[in-house]
Amino acid sequence: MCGLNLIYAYHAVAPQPSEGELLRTRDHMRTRGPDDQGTWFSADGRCAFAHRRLAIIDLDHRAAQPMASLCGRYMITFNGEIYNYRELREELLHDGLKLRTESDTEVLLELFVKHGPAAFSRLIGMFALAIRDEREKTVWLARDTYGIKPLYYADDGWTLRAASQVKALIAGGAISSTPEPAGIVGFYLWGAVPEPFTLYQEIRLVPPGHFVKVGALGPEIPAPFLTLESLYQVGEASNLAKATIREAVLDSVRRHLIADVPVGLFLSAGIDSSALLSAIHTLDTERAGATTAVTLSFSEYSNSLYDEAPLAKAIAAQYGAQHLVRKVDENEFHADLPAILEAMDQPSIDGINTWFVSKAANEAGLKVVLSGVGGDELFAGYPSFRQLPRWRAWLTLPARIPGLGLASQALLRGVGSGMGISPKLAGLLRHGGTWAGLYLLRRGLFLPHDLKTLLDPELLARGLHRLSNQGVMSKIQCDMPQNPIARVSFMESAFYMRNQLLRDADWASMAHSLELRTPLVDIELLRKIAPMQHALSNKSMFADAMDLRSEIRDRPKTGFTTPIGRWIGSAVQDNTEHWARSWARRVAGEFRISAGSRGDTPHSHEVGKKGGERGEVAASIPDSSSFTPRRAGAATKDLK
Amino acid sequence: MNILALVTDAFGGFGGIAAYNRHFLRGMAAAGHTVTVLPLDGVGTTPPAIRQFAPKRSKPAYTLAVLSMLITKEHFDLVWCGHMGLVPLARLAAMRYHCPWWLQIHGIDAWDSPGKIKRRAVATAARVTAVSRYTRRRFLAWASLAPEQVRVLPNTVDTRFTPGPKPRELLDRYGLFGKRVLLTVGRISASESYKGHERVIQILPELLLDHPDAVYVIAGDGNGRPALERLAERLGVTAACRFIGRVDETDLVEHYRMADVFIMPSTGEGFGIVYLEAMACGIPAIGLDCDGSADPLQACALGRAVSLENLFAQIEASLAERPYEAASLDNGLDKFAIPVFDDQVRILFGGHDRPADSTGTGA
Repeated sequence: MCGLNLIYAYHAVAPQPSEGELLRTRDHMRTRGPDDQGTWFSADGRCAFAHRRLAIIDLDHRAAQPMASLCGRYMITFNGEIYNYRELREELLHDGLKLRTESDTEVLLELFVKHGPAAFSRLIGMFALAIRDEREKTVWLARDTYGIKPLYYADDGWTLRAASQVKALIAGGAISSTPEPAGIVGFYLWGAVPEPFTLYQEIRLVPPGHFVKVGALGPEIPAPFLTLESLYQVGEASNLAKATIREAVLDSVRRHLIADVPVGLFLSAGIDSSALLSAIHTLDTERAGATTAVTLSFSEYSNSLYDEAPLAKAIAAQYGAQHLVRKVDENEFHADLPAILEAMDQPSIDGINTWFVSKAANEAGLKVVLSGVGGDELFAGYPSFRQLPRWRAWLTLPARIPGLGLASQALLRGVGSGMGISPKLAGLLRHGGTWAGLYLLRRGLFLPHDLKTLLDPELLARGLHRLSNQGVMSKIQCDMPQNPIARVSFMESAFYMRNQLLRDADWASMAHSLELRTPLVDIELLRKIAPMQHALSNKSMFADAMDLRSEIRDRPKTGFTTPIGRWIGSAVQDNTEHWARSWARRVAGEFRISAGSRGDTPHSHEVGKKGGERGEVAASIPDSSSFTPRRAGAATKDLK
Repeated sequence: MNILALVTDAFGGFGGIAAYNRHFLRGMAAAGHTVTVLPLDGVGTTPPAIRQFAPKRSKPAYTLAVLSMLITKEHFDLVWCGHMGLVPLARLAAMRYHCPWWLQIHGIDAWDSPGKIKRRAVATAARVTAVSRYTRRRFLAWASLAPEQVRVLPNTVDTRFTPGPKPRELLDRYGLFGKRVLLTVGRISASESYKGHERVIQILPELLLDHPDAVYVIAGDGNGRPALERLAERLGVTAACRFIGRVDETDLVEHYRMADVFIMPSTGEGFGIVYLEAMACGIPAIGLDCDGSADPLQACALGRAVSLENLFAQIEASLAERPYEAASLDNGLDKFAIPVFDDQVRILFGGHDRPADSTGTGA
């Protein structure tokens, strides 16, 4: 887990990359890689790579990056971990290669030398990388199938820039801060900026499971090597089998434990993190005993059902792990808030829990932890797995009646506002006819209609058009598996988890120089579970497969199990609206998101520039007494 | 490849767009393609492999000419559209020939979202080339195309623009002996006031305090000229201004050479070929950093792209500099030379002799 960046002046008229810009971007990511750093310039001076390293595998300086291939033709800068690198290494050694390091980076690079971009589909792990081919004068960018690791790139028509963080790219000082309406509208719709957009028109994410080749003309259209959609397209469904689930999870955890430093664990009292500790114990009892499990505890919840510490302590004791309970109170939250907002790479209404638990892990001296994120998405843990198929069955026909959706929305909004009818309920018939609409109702922070009073109409229209036209909403509509459970699993994985949970996990953990690994977000695991998903109804099968004690399996969902929602409410000092909405307003102000319209007048439309009008969005947010809060997940889901 | 080019003007045309189109069409021919040009305006000599039809002068006549072309048996492999205004016709032609079409965008015409018909037509373009990074960014803010479909092909500058001594005949004609000359070359259109003539005139009173020998020469004509003349009179700087009218293409080089500083604080340039021409003549060039001007000005040693707030300071600094010996310096202009431009055209066509068919309906 590291930070990477590059500048490639591919166009003939582009000036050569400046070392100053390269270092400004790299060193903005200091906490991503405190152990080592490096830069490299191509022979013609047109391409520059940089890297900051968090050393996890092969701690020696010989494994530092940017790293050259054995033949000297290729150069790599890479962020992530390749969990099957040992098998791939054996293959390369069998070919007679004399590898110089024990690192996964060198294996990855030599695999590319051997297979070209076809190598990417053989990698199991989380990765974002750039490889330079000095002979062909090309650069290849690639990102893992789930999109665990971020890789942002900006092409201005002359020069391509890429980095692990948006704020690092902006810190370089050479990228336009023209806002992206789709990013702004997407943030208000979902509480996180949906891929491939960012707040900035020029900066985009490399799509997960895709690579981008950059040649003399600039970046080509991203090409897939292994997409999440394709993994959900299973041939033949199979029956639920506890043994298969158990073996698949054990396999994934085994892979995720590979490291040359101790690997810790985020432990709540929930099924997912408990299952991971159970798996570690099954694989290696001694290792479980050496594992530090970190749990957050809040004084507000002492001796209440919501306090996870007692059960977590019992779970840790059961598997012999070393247990660390870290108390967090409101004072610490407020003290950390400026640093949290500074570390937040793109606006998000989530991620605070991951910040504190990562901070605790860092204090405990850990560089790597396992997180249970992804369990709900894979094993049907969310209520959405039950709700959406049911709503779909109820609403498909009425939603097809022309005008009924609009009429019912207008009626319910008119008469319902005084009766406490939520905007989401009012929009049920209008949006409920499609999976995309249903998902918006389920996960949306605001509905498009709500945004009419929040954002400039032209910005809103442009944002919605770009979201719809450039693959965000259409992806929900088109690329889904047929089985309803698998559909919801795909939507939650490709949207909520990818855009919110994984992005928040990245910035909040990397701010504490901590590598967060996700054994339940793993392509091999998905390959084995996807054929069984049709038969899942909740996570009890998963809990049973991992032999979890009944208190964990039967523990009721406690909803807002942390007081962070309340603290956030107090931080924004407005008790008249739901905390998520208030928090969105605060975050928008912090990112200086302009609610202005055109975005095309010179100097009038830049996001976050000095002198910009901070908080102008906040001033236009309407009263939200009728707001229906998102499910509890926002503040709690990231602690797994 | 047999290419049909729909253009406002090219061979025989006047101004930056015509010059750009000529270079691009020549580049296509140099890459081995056959080009048929349907111009709205302009009559001129074409090189081999390029056939240019007679101009139609009016939009209805032009539309009729394109439609007439479409009903002939001639087939084209690519339709090249040289202006946003011709997008619907280009789209129609591409549908007729079942071939991809390529849009060239120059500047302000492509900055803001057009009407629905053009917007939908643009979404079907296989490729777009923009003259500058700024124009590309503005275009991508509204166009329903992937960023990777929109490439930048900057303007080029003719080899006849070279440094030389100040022409005595022109200094005499305009009364410029012993003067420090600020020069702007461009249309003076009341509807295109973005060129920034008035910004220069407004700072003349203060500039003349330190540089009483400064004279502002305005080359170009148009319906905005009377307003500029009145402004100069109101500010009491008429004596320091020379409105010399439109300069013929063949006399441009000499006019650049008589200047000490080229200044055009425009806010609406797609690129601004005049900056390149001035710098190729060894004249330092000043513009603003808020539009396409930044591309030529930031890429060349002689260029200065500044904010509006710093404009006055930059003009003062440039006037204070010693006369520039451009010919002896590596000033970065070689990047805008015609061979580089031709090479870029070849690369754009390389591997894309038949750009991916995109004759669908678009958004």
